[in-house]
Amino acid sequence: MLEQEDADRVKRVLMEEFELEEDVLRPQASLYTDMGLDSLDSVDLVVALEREFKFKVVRAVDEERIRAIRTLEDLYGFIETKRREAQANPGA
Amino acid sequence: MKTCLFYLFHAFYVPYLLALTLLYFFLFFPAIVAGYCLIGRDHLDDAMRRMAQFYGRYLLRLSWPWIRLRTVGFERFPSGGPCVVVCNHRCYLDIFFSALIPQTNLLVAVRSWPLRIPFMGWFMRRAGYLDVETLSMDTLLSHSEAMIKRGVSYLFFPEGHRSRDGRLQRFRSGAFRIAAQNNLPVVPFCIEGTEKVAPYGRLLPRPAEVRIEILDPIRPDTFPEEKRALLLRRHVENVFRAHLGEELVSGVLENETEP
Repeated sequence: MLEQEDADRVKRVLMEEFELEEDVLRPQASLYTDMGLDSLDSVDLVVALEREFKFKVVRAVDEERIRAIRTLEDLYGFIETKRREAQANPGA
Repeated sequence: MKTCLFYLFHAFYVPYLLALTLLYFFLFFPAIVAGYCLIGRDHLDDAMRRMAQFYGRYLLRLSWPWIRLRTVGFERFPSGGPCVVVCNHRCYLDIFFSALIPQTNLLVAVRSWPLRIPFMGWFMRRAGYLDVETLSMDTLLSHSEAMIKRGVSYLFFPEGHRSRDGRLQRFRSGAFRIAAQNNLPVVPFCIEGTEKVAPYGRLLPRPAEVRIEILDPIRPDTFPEEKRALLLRRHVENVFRAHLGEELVSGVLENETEP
């Protein structure tokens, strides 16, 4: 599970990028129904997370994982996975 | 009698548009594309984009008195080089009104679904329109460098889809990332009145007055380099909001700077 400090960074990215209020950013909150994001926002979200966490999202590899993200908790899980992969393959 | 004539007059508009479209595509379209490719030595996609824009202008100019156009601030449009035009979106016909932008090689950013419309989708793909729903930001940005070298400008509807209630929606970042990376001026192109031509949920257009104003271009390099695209996006959104008399957006950016 993502550490609290990193979870706060994710929330900050969402607040900056999508002008969301902090009280909507609960772990179980849906990115679509509660936060009002849509498929166009996923492009902006990926760019913002790549910059914040210094990993690379490869569309061909991560497409299915991105599609499976529904809640903020799912997003934390995705970031944790990407970070583990980045640590395992630092040159990738 | 007067009401009857009024409805008859307006009922004539859609068949008239269809006739103009058929005339354009069978008569002018091949001549214009061939002319640009053979004489002007354009790439095919450049010629298709110019042709699409002439089609929009042709329909609008011949739509009087159904559509009464009022244009303001066109002298503000930057001359000499590519730019990123951003347009508010209240009606599915806004794309036709964007044909009045005084730049004839405009690459339009669209969602995936218009590219799947028969004929129109084929045309858009031929014109190289960008599917911003599917392409990654890296692809968009690297593609933009090559296109800008060819003198191509961009048109974005940064709200992503048309407004249901006429109020401006949150802007997306694509247009501003391209502008920030290439230091291109962002030109706000503000359309008012198209929501009366075809309100949300209505297919057939009806007569109305449409006002188009080009607002002052904004240069990305007036914003700090860090988070330039984000600051630029927020600023441009607020320029539209101020112009349309809507509430401004605020944010949580640290050291937020307005030019």
